[in-house]
Amino acid sequence: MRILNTFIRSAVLAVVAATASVQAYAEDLGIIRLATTTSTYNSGLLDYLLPEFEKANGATIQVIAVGTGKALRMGRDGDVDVVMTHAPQAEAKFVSEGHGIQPRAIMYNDFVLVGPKNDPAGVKSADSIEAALTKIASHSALFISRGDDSGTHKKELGLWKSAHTKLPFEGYREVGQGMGKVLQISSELQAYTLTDRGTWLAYKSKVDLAIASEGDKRLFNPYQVILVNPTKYDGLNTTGAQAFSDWLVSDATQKRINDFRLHGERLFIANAAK
Amino acid sequence: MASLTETFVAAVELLVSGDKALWTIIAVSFNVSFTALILAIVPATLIGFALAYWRFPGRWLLLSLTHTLMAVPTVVVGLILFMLLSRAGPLGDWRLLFTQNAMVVGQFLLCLPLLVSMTHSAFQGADKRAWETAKMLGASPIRCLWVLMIEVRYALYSSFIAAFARIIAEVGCAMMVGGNILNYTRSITTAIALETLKGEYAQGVALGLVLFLLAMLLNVGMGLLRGKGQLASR
Amino acid sequence: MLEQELKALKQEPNPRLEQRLKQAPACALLTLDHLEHRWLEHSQSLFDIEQMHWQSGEHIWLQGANGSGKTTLMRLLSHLEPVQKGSIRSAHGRICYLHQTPYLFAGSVERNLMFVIRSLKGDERLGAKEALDHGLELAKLTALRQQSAVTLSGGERQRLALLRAWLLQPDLLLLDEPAANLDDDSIELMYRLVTDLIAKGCVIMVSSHQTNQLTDLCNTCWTIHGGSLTRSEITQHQDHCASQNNSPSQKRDTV
Repeated sequence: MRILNTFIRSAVLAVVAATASVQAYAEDLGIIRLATTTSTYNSGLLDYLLPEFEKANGATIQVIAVGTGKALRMGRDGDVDVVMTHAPQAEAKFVSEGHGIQPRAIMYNDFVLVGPKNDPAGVKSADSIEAALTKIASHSALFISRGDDSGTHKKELGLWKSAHTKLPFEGYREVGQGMGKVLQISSELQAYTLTDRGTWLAYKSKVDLAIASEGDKRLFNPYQVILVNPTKYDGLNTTGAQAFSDWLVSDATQKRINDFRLHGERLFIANAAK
Repeated sequence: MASLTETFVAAVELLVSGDKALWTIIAVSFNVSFTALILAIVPATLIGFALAYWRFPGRWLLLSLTHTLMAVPTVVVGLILFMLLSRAGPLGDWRLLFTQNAMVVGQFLLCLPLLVSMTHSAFQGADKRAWETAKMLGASPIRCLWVLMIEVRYALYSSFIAAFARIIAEVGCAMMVGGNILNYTRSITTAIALETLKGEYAQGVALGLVLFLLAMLLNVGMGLLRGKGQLASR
Repeated sequence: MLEQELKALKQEPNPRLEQRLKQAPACALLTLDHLEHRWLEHSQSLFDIEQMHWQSGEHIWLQGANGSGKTTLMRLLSHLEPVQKGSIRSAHGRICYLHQTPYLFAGSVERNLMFVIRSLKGDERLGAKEALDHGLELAKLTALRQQSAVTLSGGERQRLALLRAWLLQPDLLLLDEPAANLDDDSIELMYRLVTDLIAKGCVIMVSSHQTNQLTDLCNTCWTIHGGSLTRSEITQHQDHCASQNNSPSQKRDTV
């Protein structure tokens, strides 16, 4: 009897202790699930930014690096608490359909058009990105498209549209793979492609390609952070997500984003609204 | 849960509506895998036969090599082939990378060990008298082999089906050397990988259904053949 | 001299020489020389035959206990088993070995027979085609011509296998226990086919534990015992056979 009593008492104690520890943990921000694009993740920006937030708030951020399409889909399905993507139109739709709330601009980087070093379509002489793309299409030069619904893919489609080019043209190939892979394929096939600067810097030395066009304002690539609508799903860590969003747009973090360098080059320009 | 059924319904709709993009992908898959299988059958059957019927130096080594190669992941085959066919690689001048031909070569390499191993055991289990009777009745070696192949035809069919199932369901190598280029090298499996990445589950599920149906068809076919084989041997 | 002739014959068939060899009573169709065979490399040898000739005109009854190596010897003679040690020299001709339980090809009886016809060439092929109906009559298989071979009874299978060999017209026919488990009628039909072959110049070797009509055709006996092979003449049988119905064979024996 006595042994049983002791056993029950210790069991109860254990449960209480466990609950207490969970509560203590919950006072911190807990686990925040972030769906973001491969470009931010692969550039190393998140590894550079996130530890500071995690340390200060006792939080763990689980980063799921996918294409923008998948990231938004995960937000829509309530699989993550917050998304950070770069596809303005898709994001606007995501918010207007009520899947996300509080979209905030954080920063932008830019895209570059890369291609074979000998520039068969004569793109380098073009004065705008539209002119460059028109030249590629009119020369029926090979162009590799991400074709995976990613932010980069959406950007590219938008650019073709403003260049009044009907897709697909003769040399247009959709490969449906990540940016790094697309750069490899472009190098193998000696084709043009649109890439974000981060991936380009990381792959520059491994591929036989060169920048064909850059600097056009249309090539800017804005990132937004959006909270997944807490009214749609139970159990979202909206508190944590909110804190994360606030922290991203804070002056200190914005400065850190500006200070980030990849291969000695600045990648992201912070642009959060004051 | 609702979204799961919705996806499923959308998938079936895509399939029956004859969605062109979807059926192009299916055609690429079948084209590549059939070509690879047809190319592999003849050499694999001959090697399998040679391994079963002659004792020659290196036979044991070749057999263990075959069994080892069967276990090599498809991505590894893809990687090696990629390095060979890359512009910087030794066979770069062939300009094969990211073409259907490269996928055919990859799948050929993938199904060859499996075919050799399975045809080898098929011939090993064959009634030796089939070969001997044909030989005694004055048939040429090629006819003798043909007689033997007819004798073990069910086992041979099984090995062809198993090899086809392996390569059509393979994703690593197809993705790596094919490049998943729409209308050129996008196969069922690489498309599923992509559609999932895009969050477009319906097409992925539709393609998955095709593979599932195919697997079922092949298995039922194999079961029927096996049943027939048993009857014949009785 | 004969050795040289044999050598020449092997390289280039010569009808004149072949004729001579056939007619010469002392000429060997097959010569076994220091033939040794064992199942495993270091196991005891199955048999060890110093020298043995199969002379033309000799029909051999191969005897020996179960497991003494009768089947192995026949398979060695017909090149189905690789010779391990020693040699088997064959003078000429087509050797055909019939399994104890015959293997029939998938398909009809006729298809099994057409298989043989298709492996023959030229005149032989035409001859076999013409002989087909007669052969079916001899083996009483005419009615079963279109029947699937797998559905045949034991006796019918054995007859079909022999009929295939009959179409091939071998010079040496090796029958492995042909009469085992057969009824008298089937043995009689087999006998008819074999005597017809003998009449056309074929010599036979039969392995059997019991005497039957087929062993009665034999005039020589090979016995495997304790790993060695001994030869003896069967005089009474020879007389018996010769007087009964084997005149061509008899003629050749007496040349």
